[in-house]
Amino acid sequence: MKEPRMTEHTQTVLRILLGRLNDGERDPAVLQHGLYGLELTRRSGLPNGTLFPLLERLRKAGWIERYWESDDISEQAGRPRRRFYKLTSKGAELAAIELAKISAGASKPLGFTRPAPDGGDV
Amino acid sequence: MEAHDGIEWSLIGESELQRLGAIPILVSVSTCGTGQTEPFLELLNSDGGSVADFGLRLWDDKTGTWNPVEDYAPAAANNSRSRRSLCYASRFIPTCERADWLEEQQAYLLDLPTRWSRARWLISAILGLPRLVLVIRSELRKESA
Repeated sequence: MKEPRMTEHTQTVLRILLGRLNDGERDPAVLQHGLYGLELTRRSGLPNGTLFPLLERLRKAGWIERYWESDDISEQAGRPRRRFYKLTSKGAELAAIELAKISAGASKPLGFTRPAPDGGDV
Repeated sequence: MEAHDGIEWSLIGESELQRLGAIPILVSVSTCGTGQTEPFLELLNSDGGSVADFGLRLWDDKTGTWNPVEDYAPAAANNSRSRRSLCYASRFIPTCERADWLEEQQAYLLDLPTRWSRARWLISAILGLPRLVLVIRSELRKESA
């Protein structure tokens, strides 16, 4: 199975589904139950035309799974049922690794050396 | 008469048509691939224009009156046009995913509070459709190969 490309949008969605909040805290409920599509668009700020193809790609790669909310809950709330997206165990593991790699890469100084006027490296 | 969400509904009566000055009536019923029958009633006036402010009304047997659908399901009434557009758009989606996609998107439409937010959702869904179809179809091709 082809692994998904780690674009900025992919990273954003994975961070949200991992339950990582902006202040560094974690929301274990998100990792456990996932989020429904509309809530994901709200939290990620991505338009649904971008989000759903992305979710589909992640699903095909086996990183996330989706499930319908139970009828009892939706009937009680008086609305149609929602579809939830959550990370699979494989997805959670790989997403954490990939995101760690990216943040490590971002914090590492670039390996360029500027040539000195006398011909040596600075 | 047919039952819809526990309320009887039928075509608009003759007297109501005369009151509105609306002569022909167009009734379309769409199942939208969800297995649900959804009534869309559209009245046309003598010029062929739609009597837009009439909207969808339900006949309440208890009170014996025609009531705006907003009284029963506020969001549903505002959503009918968006939902129909989604129905049409969903035809591009492969059959195996169509009903689920439609159900999901329609559920979110009901959650959106304003007409503007629903329009934005709808436009974005339609603009993202080719990409979504591509992802679904690419996987279908791999499975069949």
